[in-house]
Amino acid sequence: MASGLAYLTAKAVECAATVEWIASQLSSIPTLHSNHPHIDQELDERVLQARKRIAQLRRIIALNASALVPRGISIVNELQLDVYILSESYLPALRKEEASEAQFGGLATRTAGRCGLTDVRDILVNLSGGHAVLPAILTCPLLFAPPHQRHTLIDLVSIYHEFGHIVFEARSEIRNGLTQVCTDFFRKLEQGGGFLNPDQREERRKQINQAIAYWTRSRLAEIFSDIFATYTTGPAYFYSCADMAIPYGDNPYEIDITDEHPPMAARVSVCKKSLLPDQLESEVGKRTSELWDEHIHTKAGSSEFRLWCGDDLLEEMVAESVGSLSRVGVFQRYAAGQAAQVVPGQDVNLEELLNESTRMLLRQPASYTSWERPFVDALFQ
Amino acid sequence: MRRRRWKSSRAGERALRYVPLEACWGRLSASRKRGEGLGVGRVIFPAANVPDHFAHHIGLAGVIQFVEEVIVDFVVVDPSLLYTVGIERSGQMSTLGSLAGKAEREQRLLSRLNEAVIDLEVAALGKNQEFSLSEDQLQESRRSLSEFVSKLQSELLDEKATADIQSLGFRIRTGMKPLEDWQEDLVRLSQQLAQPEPIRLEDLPILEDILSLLDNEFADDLRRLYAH
Repeated sequence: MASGLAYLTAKAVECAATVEWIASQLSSIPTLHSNHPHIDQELDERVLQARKRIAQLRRIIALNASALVPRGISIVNELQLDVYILSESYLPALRKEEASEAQFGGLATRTAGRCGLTDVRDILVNLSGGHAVLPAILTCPLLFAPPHQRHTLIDLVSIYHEFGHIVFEARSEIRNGLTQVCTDFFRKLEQGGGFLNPDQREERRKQINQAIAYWTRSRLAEIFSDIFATYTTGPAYFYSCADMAIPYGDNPYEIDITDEHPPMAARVSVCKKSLLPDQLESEVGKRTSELWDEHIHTKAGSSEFRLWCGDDLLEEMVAESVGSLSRVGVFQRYAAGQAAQVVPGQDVNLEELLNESTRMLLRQPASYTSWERPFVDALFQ
Repeated sequence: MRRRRWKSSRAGERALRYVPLEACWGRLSASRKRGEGLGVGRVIFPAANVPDHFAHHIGLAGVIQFVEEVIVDFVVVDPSLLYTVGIERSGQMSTLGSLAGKAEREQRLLSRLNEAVIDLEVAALGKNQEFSLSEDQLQESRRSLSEFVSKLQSELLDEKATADIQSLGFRIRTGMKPLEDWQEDLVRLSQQLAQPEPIRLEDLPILEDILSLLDNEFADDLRRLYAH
């Protein structure tokens, strides 16, 4: 047997052992089916897919076709992703799930549903590390949040950015629409460069291709998630986004090509552009704008920033994203003036509460902690 | 020089979730005390001031010299004076969402294409019965491959942007082989796939070229995901 096929034989054995171990571990979690029936079902399905991949590997081995070895290696990588999702992500979260994480998961699931993520059935929460989501199983995503999130409303609005990732992955029309907007924008720019000699034209073409290449799927996902979070929570997320950059002395216009996140100046800008006029004029909207303007007033964007993340492009990205969200029709845009009545102990509209919370933090920081306490208790009781 | 701050990887965070009080060596005066024993705050340390035992706690032993500042966000969660420390500020969002979403899509695409290629090979070797491959399945596999080739052609012509194969298009455009050659090869490939005769992977080198580009992209993302 060719060495490639011998290697695949070894990998098939190894992967089968791993997948069967995962299956046995999942079935040994006594509360999985009763507490998370949808997650249980989805993970079973994932295990089934992994077994099918192993069957494909065995098919290649049985065919004895050396030409298919690269496909076999590719399938081994497919299995690596299954293992990452099952064994490195869901399994540890399920095994360690505490009551506070289950409560948080319930709140996140209800909130996602209210915002329009109606396909999301059950969000599993792991309170460790920074805010993040694993949007591999879209009906039952895995949400990470810091352990202290259980004790404060501050930064809780970040979960809406994570919801944005779920929407981006679930909706191909949104992904493709944003990609198209970006490509069209830069192609138009390339054509409209005025009179250029052939060398200048070629240079222009290279610059434009670099700009298109900058807006990878991942960066579009990040920018869309900021727009989505502002769409659903209004000024609260605008403040939170600005707050991510203000404490740091970095130039928010600086483009770091190793970072999947666009520069903070672009992110804050799309948040601001996503606000409705009355949200921009609201107390939090105005205060955040002032804080941000003060933060950037001595800083400026490079020519690279102006080309890659220019205002006109960001405007079009926001228009496309907001337009798509409105056309889909299920996503709830935050409306300022939705009565700011938040009564501890009663079911709360989290978007409303987080806007009230941001107002309180900015207006009366000294009494903020005592103000938020009953709400935190009510949310996670 | 760009200031380097340390942003933890998820693996790092696991190791530092609970750091004993003494590891913070008395710098907690910078914290804000809030509520019933709940302390929330941030301390920013110049890396040079981070003692070895703390560097070890936060997973930076051996690499601290490459970091200029260490930012520690903390919260006291109970009176036992254990500090839950998040090095990465909660607002500094992770790339997990975009990375995992992209890898998931790549896996689905590759899974479909790999299966289709294996089906073609089974049929070309005349082993349909042995491997229980029906004519319908075979046609479906050809259709999957043709559909993919057609999407890629559109992407390369800038006709219709598809987020999920955008980076494949970029890899093709920036490779050594001229774009026009790729386009000609794709036309030939779609013609081959449309013919009813059995077809072997060896006769479709261009398909393997494309799949290997997808493999590379997926493997890169997988590596980054595991390193996250």
